[in-house]
Amino acid sequence: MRVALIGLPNCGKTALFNRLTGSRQKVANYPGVTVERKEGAFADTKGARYQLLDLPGLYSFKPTTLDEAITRDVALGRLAGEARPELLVLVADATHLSLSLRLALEARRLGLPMILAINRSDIAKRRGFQIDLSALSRELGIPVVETVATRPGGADALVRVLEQRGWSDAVSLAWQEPTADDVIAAHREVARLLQAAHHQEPKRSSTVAVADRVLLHPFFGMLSLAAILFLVFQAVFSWASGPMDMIDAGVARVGEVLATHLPEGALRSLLIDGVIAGLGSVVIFLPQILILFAFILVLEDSGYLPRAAYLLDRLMGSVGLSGRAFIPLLSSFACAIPGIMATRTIPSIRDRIATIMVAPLMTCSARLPVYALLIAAFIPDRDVGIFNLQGLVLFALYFAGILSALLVAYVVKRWQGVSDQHLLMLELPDYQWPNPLNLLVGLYDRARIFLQRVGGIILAMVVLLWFLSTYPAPPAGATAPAIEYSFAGYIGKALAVVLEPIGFNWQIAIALVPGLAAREIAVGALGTVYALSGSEEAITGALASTIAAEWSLATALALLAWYVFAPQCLATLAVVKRETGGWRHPLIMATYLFALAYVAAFLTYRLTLMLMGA
Amino acid sequence: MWQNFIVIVAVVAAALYVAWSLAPASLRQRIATRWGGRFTWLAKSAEQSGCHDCAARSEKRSVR
Repeated sequence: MRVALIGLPNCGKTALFNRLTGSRQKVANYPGVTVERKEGAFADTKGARYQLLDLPGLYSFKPTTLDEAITRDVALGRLAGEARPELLVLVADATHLSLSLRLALEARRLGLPMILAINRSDIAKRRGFQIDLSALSRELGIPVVETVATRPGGADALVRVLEQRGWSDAVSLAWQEPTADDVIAAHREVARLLQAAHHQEPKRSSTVAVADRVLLHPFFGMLSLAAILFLVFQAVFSWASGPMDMIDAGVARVGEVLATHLPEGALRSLLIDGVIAGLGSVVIFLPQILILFAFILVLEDSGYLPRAAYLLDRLMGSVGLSGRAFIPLLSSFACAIPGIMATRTIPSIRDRIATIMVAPLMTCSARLPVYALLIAAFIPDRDVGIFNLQGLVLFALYFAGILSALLVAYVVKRWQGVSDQHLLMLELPDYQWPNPLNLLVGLYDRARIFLQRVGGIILAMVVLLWFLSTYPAPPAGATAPAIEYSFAGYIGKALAVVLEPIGFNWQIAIALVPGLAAREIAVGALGTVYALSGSEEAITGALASTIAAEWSLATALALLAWYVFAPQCLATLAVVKRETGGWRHPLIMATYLFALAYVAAFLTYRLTLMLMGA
Repeated sequence: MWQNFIVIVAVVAAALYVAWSLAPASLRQRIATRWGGRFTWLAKSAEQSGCHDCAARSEKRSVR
């Protein structure tokens, strides 16, 4: 049987999907996390199997956004290649029932059998919400069950109802979108239903009201947001040094053991100069990535993020973006790809395109290793007042990305001409303490993804780069390091002609090319290139010391400026093509990012040289 | 000699892996359709969108 989960955004559909199927799809305490349908399967205690669809949240079957349209089309059987579900499970947040009931009244007109699952019922009871489920079920004419999707066994009541009922077949009705009169009538009917079901809501907690007064205040709210972001970037540098030193020592030890036991030859060079030097340079940044994500996961779970979206709505509006762009842009701090996909929640096509075009300017986690390497090499580890200077520089780089995204969005919106006006309507979720288990699972997932990249595409790229940097062998009597006579050496020197005005040497030029596949590969590539250039420190994992000795401060700052704008990885371009339906936007995006990166690096390099009197 | 053999295998495998990872989804699907019957991992790998190492990839199906 095909069962579809539908409901308002952020009511717990994906958590229920995960509970029923044993999956680990992303959940968070803000609307718009699910933007495409997901499918899973589970069996009830009698062995009957169910195909379960998790659909994006919607407020009404009259869609205003792309993700809402997906849900409507699946429910109506209009989505090509997608069989119509045979049963709907409408998931409602027990602490925000009225809007869910209005959706249930609309959903009844779809002609599908339906179950109402009142989720988060544990929290609702704890807060003093009351409702007579049997009365509500009688009034609606459908089964009503309570669920707690975040707890083991929290979906058992739903499974029991699925087992017991002989479900009627879907009926094909002439579907008509609800009119304004329908909506008004539905609101009246919801009020009647709640009264008939003896629904009672508690008064709003005074603590939450005070917290919101501060966190949503135009001045103190912005101050709080700045303080939170500051704390995050300080922690990334201050807390990670211990585990990073341990990884560094481990990598160096593995290199020493291999050097001791392997005979001279190509394999020894591949493992020590290629794999250990390359991967060791990247894997060392795992603690910093995990600290960054720990903060992001805590903020996601706590319910703070939609409040930040509300705060920034005015700022976003001043450059022509809607407040709804905040969540996609925030997702882009992890990776631009989910951020670009999350733009489906933006109703206006112009706003959506503008948000897609600036999403790669948000500093994705793949850029963190590059920033961290250059900061560790060139910025002294000392305090400025109560702040760590390295943390301050990292904050400035993230801020530069945000600022440039706003500026580019402004230009894009001006270029698009007439702007659509869409007010931000966002339901603020309740505050909640982050679930430690969710946090651990989230961090485990991030670590797994990072290490899979290190052991997958980064390893493969490093092996290829080692090959290109080792062959052909230098001619007899050659005096320079062998890499200068290799394929990579020639390619790097050819590219260096173009990159010399921005202060990049041929080693950097070599690293930038594989960095197009994934940005952090540039760090691994530098590790391999310097190891093959004869740097003992690069071989033992201390790449930061090597580049600190080889590069000028102007070159390092220019490379940081380059990576604020550096063109995104190829996978991002592929997703932009898919989401915009053609090559036009990805090509414009790649061109403007290359141009910005080059200009920013050029200005940074020349200004630094000027200030240093060179 | 044996060192060279291992190195050649590693470099060829790395080149194939990079080419497959960065190939457009449509090309991967065509190859998977042609050869996926014999190599099921190929069909599974082709389903994953974009660079299949990408942090953003989502599991298509989950079954319990």
